[in-house]
Amino acid sequence: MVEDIRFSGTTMRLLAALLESPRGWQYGYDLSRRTGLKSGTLYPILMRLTERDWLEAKWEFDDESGRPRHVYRLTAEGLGRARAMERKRDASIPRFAPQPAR
Amino acid sequence: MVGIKNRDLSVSLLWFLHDRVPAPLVPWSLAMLSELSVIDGFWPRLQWSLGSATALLTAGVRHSYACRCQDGWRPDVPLIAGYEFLFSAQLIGLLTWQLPRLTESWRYAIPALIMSYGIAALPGLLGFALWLRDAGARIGIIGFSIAHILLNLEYISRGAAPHPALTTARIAIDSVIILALCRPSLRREFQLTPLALQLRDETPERSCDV
Repeated sequence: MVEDIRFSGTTMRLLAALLESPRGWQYGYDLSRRTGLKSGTLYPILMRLTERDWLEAKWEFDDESGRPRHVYRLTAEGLGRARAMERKRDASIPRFAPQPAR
Repeated sequence: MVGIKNRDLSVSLLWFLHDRVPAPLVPWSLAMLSELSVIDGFWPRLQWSLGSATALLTAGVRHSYACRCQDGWRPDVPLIAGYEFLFSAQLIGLLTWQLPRLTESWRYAIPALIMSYGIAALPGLLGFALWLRDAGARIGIIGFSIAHILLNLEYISRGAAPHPALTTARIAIDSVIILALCRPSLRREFQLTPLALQLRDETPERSCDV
């Protein structure tokens, strides 16, 4: 069921960022910088998406710092649903015919 | 697991919460902490930490609320009990604050004060009894709320309410309390146990034979 998550603008922004590299693992802080979401907004969405199996998370050693960090990516199910949501959103945006220049 | 070397304010705040969050949130608190290893600068780190702390606290409250609801806990009864308790505290505080302004002699004032404090303590006592799942307290609070609504309506109609918006809000709160306490699910939970009235089997002895 696609409608089981209330898609706010912030959730859509995060999904769009995750869809940029659909099969790649992404760090929380990088997602925060790319989407402009503060940690207080980002993590509740990450938690909700993980709870609903849209997102998978694991620990990975960071190449730069050598420390373990939590990484996220869309699951196969999440990927399909996120793409469907994106298509639905794009379809709902009214398209205007280009106006001739005066 | 998370190698954080510098335990500054941001790290300390998240570690503090990490030790207190429910078990399912522990990986998340570690995830938030681990990101601090790549964030530079006091303010960006503090900002990250405060945001994460808010997310953890919100998720923690949601988690414990969900767990307690699964155990049959309902939030309405403690909320109503808490409101009644605060209402009492406010009335008692108001009475006590006005004590130095008494112009009557104590001899005449004391009986009136005892009565006033008794009335002021009533909602708090009823709230406490409701919290202890006393069926009579439910009816008592409904009665008290109705009386309070009528009193406030009278204040408003006479134009005697100093803050009509506040009085209207109190009427609304009392109405919500009455509606909440009259719900069938709560009525079932607070059912009064019928008294077992039974006449004794022995037939009364006649005191005198006719």
